[in-house]
Parts: sequence; structure tokens; C-alpha cells
Amino acid sequence: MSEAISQQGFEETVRKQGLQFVDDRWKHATGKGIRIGIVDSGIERDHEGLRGKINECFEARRDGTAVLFEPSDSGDSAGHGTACAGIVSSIAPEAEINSIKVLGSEGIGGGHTFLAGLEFAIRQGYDVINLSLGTTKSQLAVPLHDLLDRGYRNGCVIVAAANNLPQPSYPSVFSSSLISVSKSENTDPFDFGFRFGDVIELAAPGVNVRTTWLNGSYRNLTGNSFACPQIVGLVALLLETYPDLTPFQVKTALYSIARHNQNDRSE
Amino acid sequence: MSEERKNEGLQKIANAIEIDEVARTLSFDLETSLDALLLSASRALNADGASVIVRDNENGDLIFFKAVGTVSDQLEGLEIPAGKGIAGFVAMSGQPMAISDVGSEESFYAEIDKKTGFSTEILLATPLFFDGDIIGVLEFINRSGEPPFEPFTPEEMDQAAVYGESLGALVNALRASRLSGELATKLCGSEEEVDFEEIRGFIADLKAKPGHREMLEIAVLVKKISEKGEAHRALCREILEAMQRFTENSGQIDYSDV
Repeated sequence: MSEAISQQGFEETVRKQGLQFVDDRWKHATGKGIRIGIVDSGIERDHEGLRGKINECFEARRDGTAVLFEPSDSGDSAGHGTACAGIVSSIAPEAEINSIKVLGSEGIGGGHTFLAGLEFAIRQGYDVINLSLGTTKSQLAVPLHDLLDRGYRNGCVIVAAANNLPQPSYPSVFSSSLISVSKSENTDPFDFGFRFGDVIELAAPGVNVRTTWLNGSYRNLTGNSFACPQIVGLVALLLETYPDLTPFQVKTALYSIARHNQNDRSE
Repeated sequence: MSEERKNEGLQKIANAIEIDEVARTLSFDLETSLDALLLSASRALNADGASVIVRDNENGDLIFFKAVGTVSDQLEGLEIPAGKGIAGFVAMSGQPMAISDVGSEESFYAEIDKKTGFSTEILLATPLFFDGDIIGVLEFINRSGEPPFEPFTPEEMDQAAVYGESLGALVNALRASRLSGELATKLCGSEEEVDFEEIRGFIADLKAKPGHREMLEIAVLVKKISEKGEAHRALCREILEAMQRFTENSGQIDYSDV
């Protein structure tokens, strides 16, 4: 057996030779034909920056202990979902965006609704799911983990905002079957990076990001929440260009691109 | 009123006073610590003001629990419906966020600003945690000085998260002590009409008495000695018990020689 190559050695090889299987064609894609689900506070679909880009809007409703999802026109209760949709759309303008509202309306919200929303999104068969939220309830960790695995097996790329808080936040700590993203001060979405050493994997623009907000307005926002949809947009471009990529391959491709970006920066 | 009923009433009031006393003794230090830590957080982030907003009920509605800064007095007690505004979102999602141009279109903050006469320009909100659960939101508003304000930075977001964790523990303790106070009120008023003002007045008088203050000072002294360790605690207890036995036997102590 040949000598095992350390992580550092592997990194050195990749730095010198690169994983040259992704060329730049994907950067010219628009996300056409890619279905995205945004599990959040709803989306203001008639916002002038989003007009024609939002396909379906669903909202959680409690029925006893069950959580059901029904078509909804209640819009966005907090602005956050609209902000995420604006960021996705700025990168993948022709992607089909769908809203799964799990926060904000009367009687909804909380970890179980969030879980139900993710399950609904996976059942809808979206290509990419944006999770710019999470839960710290450890009792939801196992069911969430199972759900993410189900999504992964179904070929659904799930991207979650990481959490820099002292408490672990689920699902962003599960890095096996989703992509976890934190904010960086970069402003170019294509120039994203990666991180080793903790559960956060990618770093994308998330500081003072200008995007769509409530009542037809725009806002400058900061947070991991706004780094996550940047990667969702990029995944839509990748999937349009390489429609057969599995979630594993998407993640590998993202790592490869991030590696190149960091090489370019250090040169 | 019969003698028996009068005694029952007196006993009930005595119980309530005892609980209220414990609650107030507990909450006084907690209130002071919470105010101090909130002020320290606000200064560390060079904010004009900071607020602790907590969950008020199972629906997820929020209420301004503590505030420091320009309009702090007007903020305390204001309610935020579940999921509304940035605080509502942060409390439900657990994701911190900052906004550098709140503006007048944000209907929720515009409403609060109308009530307080304040102008919210920039805002940072991070979850308040206790024991892994989100119990509310820590919010920072504007910068000290005049606008335009520099946006809150990613480093300040991380700093705010650390304050959020410490404040969460204090808020939880303070709410628990306040609940004890409410329990006292309920005990007083459970069956018959009781003049709360009169009871509070009685408690205030009691606290103002020199004897009461001395008792508290002794309690503080015992606490300080106890903190030195097991041996100090044991010795302190022995001395106090000996003193108790002595007073039981002799009936009283003449303090004139002390």
C-alpha cells in the first residue's frame, strides 16, 4: 500500500493542480429550469424586484398536532424571506422560486413547524432548498438529521445558514448532508471561500448585502442568513449547467471553486 | 370578623410578606446586574440603546423587558406580536441579523418610533438563550452621537451573541424571582379582598426599620463568610446555633456591652 497522504498534502496537491472538472460556463447560466424552495417567513411576491420570479407560495397551518401546508397569499411577515428571495434571484434570475412560510403567521413558528416545512419542501422535489434559519432544540436534532438524509438521497441540495452563536444550531451543524454557509465581507458572490476546522463549510457575502425587503423596498442587511441564499443562487447556476450533479458532486464542485478563488486571492 | 378568621387572614398576609420579601431580595440584585450588563453591552457596541425583549406567552408574542438608552422608559412594556419585525423573526429563527437602513417603510419599527418619538436608523438583533432555548432577543439600536451611523460590523454581531448568552441567564433568573412576587400577590388576594397598597406599605415600613436593615446586613455577612468555604460555613453555623441556644436559655441578650 502506498503512503497515505495527509490532509495538508492533499491540500497542497489541490492548490498546485486544482480539481479542474468545472470550467467557467456555469457562471453564465441563469438558473433556468431549477426549482428552489425558500423555507422562511414568506415572500412578498409582488415586489417589483421579484415580479414573475415567485412560482408557488405555501403557508403552514396547524391542524391539531399536525402541521399542514396550503397555498397562501399572506406575503412576508418579517421581510427575511423576501430578502433571501431577492439574493437568490440576483444571482439566478431565471430560477423558479417557491415560498414555504413557516414563520410569522398566527399559531405557527417554532421547531416543529420548521421541521414540517423542510419535509414539505423535500416532498415537493425542489432541486435546491434555502434554510436561512435553524433551531437550537436538541430534541429536533435526530429527526432533522433523518430529513436531511432523505433530501440528500432524493438529490435535493440543501443549503443552511451557519450559526456563530455559542449554542449549536440545527441543522447547520450537520455538514454531511447539507451545505453550511457563514458570512464574509466579500461582495462578489462568485468569489466565495471555504473554511476548515468547524462545521461551517463555505463563506459567502453576508455583510451589508442590498436586497429586496417589505413593502416594495430594499435594505442593507448583515448576517449568515444572507450568505446562505448566495450559495443557493450559485448552486442553481451549477445545476443548470450540470443537471445530473448529485448533492455530493455539487458540494465537491463548490469546494473546488472556492479553492480556486482562494488560490487567486493569495497569488 | 371572628378571631379565627382574623388569624387566618394575618397568617396569609405573613406568608405573602415572606414570599414577597424573598422575591424582592432576590430580584433587587438581579435587576441591578441586568441593568449594568445591558448598559455595558450597549457601550461595548457603541450603540445609542439596547433592549432585552422576551417571549411573553406560548404564542411567541414578545415584550420589551428591559431597555437602556434614549427612550428606554417608553420601550419597557411595549409588545411585539409573534413573528413581527426583526425581533420577532430573530426570536423564532434563532438567526442574528443587522440592518443598516431600517427606514420608514418598515411598518413595525415605524409604529414603535411613532410611539416613542425616536428614529430607528440601524439595528442589530441576536437571540437570547437560556439552557439551549431561545427566550427572547437582545437588540441594539443606532450609535451614540448624531446620524449618519456606521453599520454594525460582523465582529460586533459576534460580541452581541456573547452578551446574549450572559444576559439570557440573568433574564431567566429575574423572571423567576418576579414570578415569586406574583405568587405572593395571588396568595394575598386568592379568597378575600386585601388592600395590596396597605400590604406593600407595611412591607416598605418593615424594610425601613433599622432592625430589618441590620438583619439584612447580618445575612450579607453570613453569606460572605460562607463563600470562604466549607470550614467557614460550618464554623459560622456552629457560632449561630450556639448563640441561638444561649438566647433560648437566657431569654435575651443585653447588647449594651457589645
